[in-house]
Amino acid sequence: MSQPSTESSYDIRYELKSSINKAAFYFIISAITWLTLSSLFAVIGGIKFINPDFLSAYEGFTFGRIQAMLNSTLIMGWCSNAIFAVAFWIMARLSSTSIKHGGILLIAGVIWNIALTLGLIGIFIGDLTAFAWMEFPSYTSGIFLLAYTLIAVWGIVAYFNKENDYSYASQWYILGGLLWFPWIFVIGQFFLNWFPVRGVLQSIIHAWYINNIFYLWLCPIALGACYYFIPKLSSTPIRSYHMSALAFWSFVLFASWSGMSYLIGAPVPVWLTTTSIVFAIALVIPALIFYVNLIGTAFVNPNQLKNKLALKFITFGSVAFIVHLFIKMVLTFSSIDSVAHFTMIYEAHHWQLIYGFFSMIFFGAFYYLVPTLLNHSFKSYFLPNLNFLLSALGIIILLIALYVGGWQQGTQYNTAEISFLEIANNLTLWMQLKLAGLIILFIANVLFAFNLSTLLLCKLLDALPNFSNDKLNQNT
Amino acid sequence: MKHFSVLLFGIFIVLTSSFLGLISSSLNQLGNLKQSTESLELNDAGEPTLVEGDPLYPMKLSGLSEQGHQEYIQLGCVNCHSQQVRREELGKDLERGFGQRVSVPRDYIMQSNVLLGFSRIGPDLSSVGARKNDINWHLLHLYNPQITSPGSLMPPFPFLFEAVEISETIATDNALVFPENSEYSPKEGIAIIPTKRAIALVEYLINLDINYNLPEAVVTKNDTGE
Repeated sequence: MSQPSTESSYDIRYELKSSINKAAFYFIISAITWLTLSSLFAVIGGIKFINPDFLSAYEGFTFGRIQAMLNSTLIMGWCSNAIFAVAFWIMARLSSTSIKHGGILLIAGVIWNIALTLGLIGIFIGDLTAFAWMEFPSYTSGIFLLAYTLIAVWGIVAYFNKENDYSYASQWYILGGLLWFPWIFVIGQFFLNWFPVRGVLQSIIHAWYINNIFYLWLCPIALGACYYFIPKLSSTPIRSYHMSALAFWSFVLFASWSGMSYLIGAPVPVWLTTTSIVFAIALVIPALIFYVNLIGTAFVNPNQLKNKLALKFITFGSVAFIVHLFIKMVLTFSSIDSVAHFTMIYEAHHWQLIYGFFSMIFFGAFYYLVPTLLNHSFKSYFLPNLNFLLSALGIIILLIALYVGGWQQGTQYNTAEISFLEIANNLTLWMQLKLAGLIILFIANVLFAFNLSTLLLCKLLDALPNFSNDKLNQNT
Repeated sequence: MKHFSVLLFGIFIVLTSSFLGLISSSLNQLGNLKQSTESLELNDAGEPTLVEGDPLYPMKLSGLSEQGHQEYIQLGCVNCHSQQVRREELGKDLERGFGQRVSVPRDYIMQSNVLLGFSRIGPDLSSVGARKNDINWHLLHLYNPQITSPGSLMPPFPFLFEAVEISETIATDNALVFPENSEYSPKEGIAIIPTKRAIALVEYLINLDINYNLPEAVVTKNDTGE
């Protein structure tokens, strides 16, 4: 089960010399730390649905705040730091240039994490906002923005200074994501926190914000990684690559317009939701192209898929993503929505995107990137493979619990004779299954952190004796 | 660099178009909603105008309610409770008595933060004040939901209350009244009194009520469905 690095020795030297290296490790370590913390929050939240009394005496641990801290650590902690680590590396590789000013990148990364820490403390003491997925207090938003500007500009500069004339699908997605994020972020903060608009306009902007953070920030970068790693790891060119431009433009345009489907039935103008439903259904076009481009390529070489850990993660993530898009379409049908709205199905849908798709892609990317950057491969692939199995098992159990439990919740809700208390009590089994899934994910995430940090430690320990020998030789 | 500018232009158009199409146009449509009387009358020129002297709806929140609204946000209640009544064909909101009519955009214009919500682990709270206006019930329910709703998944909020020894120096006339023989009752000589925060939150909850008429939304259901 060895996994020979496909990098030539030139590439490795190039990587080790490049100034981005320290910053890349900083982002990788931050991402892993926030991921572990977020899954701890998820487990605490899961226990509260079985025993509401758990930790209830402490205000900071009340369910609403745990959920807010979970969302913030996921989006601003794990996802963003992972993006900074991987997106820059891909951008530099494909542009055949190096990311300059690694020092500024490092400082900006520290500022970003300070903002997030401040945000979490703020949520803990009760400064959270009223808006899901952007609960971090508004006084941190300026710091996030400052840090982001200092970080993102180097990725964009790398593309601008690229030394070859080609541009690859990966680069479009990453450039798009890097440019869209600050814009979405500012619009959300401006209209909801700095100068709040009135009435349901807040909900409209909130729905637009969540949708765009998911589909124009997390998705493009993860898709960029897919378009980079799948052909590289399966040693096959992307199937029907000529379709990828159509997939890119149709996906980002339709996905950005499809955000109001969160508001079906809400007190907003009906034309808004209708427009978004049309665009959500139109997502079938990019979804089919992604299927051919990504899944089609990954399965060309089944041997590679079996032997390469990173490819396993990334293929799992791609499948989860395409299923996610189809579920998004189905959820806009009004007969389905009348059952699914307000149930755990939406929670499942978000988990599927953030963990099933995004995190799996980035686990794969990290398992490729860290050994490459360190020039030191895993001695045994047992634990990394176990990580894959646990992550896959955990997310599948979690999704089954939330989708099936959510559907039961919705049908019982629509039977007016069943009281709310009964509905809640009938969810016990699914809540237990959900907790089981979350615990497995927690173990998988800890294992992920363990695997990568032992690799880092092994590398350091290997370097240590050489260093002391040199010293001894010098002294004698 | 031709490619770069085309790409940048496209990236710009994608987000601008969805911003203009979805947000600017709804700002335009909904940005000028004002309070209204329950019905309108025609003036001399034949245009509908407000009835003079009638109360305006939705009403402005009182200072205490507004504090309660902030508590609601701070405790993250929105994670499990929605505040919207959907149309009949989209679920049993009306039948379950969440409101006597569907909610409309005008209902929300006086709120500093709109909490439509996205999940219903607990019931909708659009008109919770009309369903339950017993302050003691709400306080008990916040102190520990198991007292009023055994088996509820809602967390208790004991930190919104203080346990004090009953004595002549401390006023305990607003202490919680527990049901007889409740296993959650405090020990003899101890009273559970709500803090200002709990009082504000309950004030907010019992004032949540959309069972008034608006020109575009008339109350259609009269039984509360309880």
